[in-house]
Amino acid sequence: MSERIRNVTFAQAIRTAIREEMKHDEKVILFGEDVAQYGGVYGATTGLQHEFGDDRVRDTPISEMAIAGMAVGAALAGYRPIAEIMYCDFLTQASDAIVNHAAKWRYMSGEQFKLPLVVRSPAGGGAGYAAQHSQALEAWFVHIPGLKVVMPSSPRDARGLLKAAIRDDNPVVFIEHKDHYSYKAEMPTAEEIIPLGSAEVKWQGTDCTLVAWSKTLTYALQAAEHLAKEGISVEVIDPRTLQPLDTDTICNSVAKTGHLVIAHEAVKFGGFGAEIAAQVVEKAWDNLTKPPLRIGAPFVPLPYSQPLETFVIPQVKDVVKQITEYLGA
Amino acid sequence: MDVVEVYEAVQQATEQMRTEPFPAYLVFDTYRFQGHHTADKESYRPTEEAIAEFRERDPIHILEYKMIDDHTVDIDTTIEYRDRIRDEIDRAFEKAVAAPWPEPREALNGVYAQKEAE
Repeated sequence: MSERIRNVTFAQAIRTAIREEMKHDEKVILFGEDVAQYGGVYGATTGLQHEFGDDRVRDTPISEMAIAGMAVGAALAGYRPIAEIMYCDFLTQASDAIVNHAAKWRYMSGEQFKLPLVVRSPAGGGAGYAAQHSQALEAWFVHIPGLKVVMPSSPRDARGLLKAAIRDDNPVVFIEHKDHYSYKAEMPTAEEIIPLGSAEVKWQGTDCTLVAWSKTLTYALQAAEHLAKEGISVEVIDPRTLQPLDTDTICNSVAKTGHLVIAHEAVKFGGFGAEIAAQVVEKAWDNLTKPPLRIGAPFVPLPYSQPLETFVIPQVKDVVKQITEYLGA
Repeated sequence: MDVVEVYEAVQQATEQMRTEPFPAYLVFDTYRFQGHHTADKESYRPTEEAIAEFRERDPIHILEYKMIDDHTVDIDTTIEYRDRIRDEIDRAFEKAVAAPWPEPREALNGVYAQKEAE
């Protein structure tokens, strides 16, 4: 293994980003439920309190409203807070501070304030945590002017994007996938910042553009590999940030393939796939040879029982089957 | 913690609030004996000696001794209750483990109330 690239877990990549940014800027602070002494329920913040002290890394009471409110206050006071909301489902409790305060105050004050804060939160199912601990709620936050929304799919992207999010002068909702924390992949040892708003082609292809993010991106890559063996060449694109969205990379790919499929774990109705489909239809209609296809969850809460959960979350085989039918029809 | 004392304290506070319309504060010193979930490392837990006083204050035990002392129940009855409840839990657990997995499409049921046929 090269010294300049090492295999790290998603959790280690998050920790690397926070550690680097806390060293880089003493105004970066971290707080949330069990992030300090316990090191985060998924181990993403292990050791940070020990390294940076009780003032900069704090455990909070179980009040998402207070955590998000404290982030807003700290950001206004000149800090760069990273607040963790233990499950993205609990963003419901934190939403007043995020949506009505963090996202609004710069605009409503005539640009007097900036709110450089990051809210990190794990989303997604697959672990049997049931309907209140498994949702993918990115569509809510992309709909709020003033917020940025990031959803990384690899350790390398997680580290580079989190660093960009922490340095950004705006509130950023940074959504991780709870089934991803132990996922290991290569990450350069050298510092790397990945700008928000840049998509990446993760797999080159010519027949069909497949857009996916977060854990569904890993499924998309497996589906592309499988379809390649059947002679179907899929181009997989990870938008990485949903707001701002890099539509150029997606449209350029569609210009080449003529087909667009969007796959996500969230409920299909009202999901972010609809926005991507609409953007491409508006901007690249002439390049589409047929209407876009959306793959998402049926309109149900995520069930607890394993076979039901697997049925609801789009799996690799579902992506393979639906793309095959889409291109064949 | 004593269930009867709690009942009396709440009763007294509510009665007082009905006559004098002022808020009342009730502070309960409680203790959680089990972790948040099965994978909870419970690294926050002090030693067993340190929590001994809480074990002595377990509200279920206090109520049980109290009811035995005032002859509301006899000790054989409480043992019988305990056995019956443990048996019920064991049977429910065995039944759940032995049951077949549900049909995947069952996931689609139960999201909305359907108007019942009259």
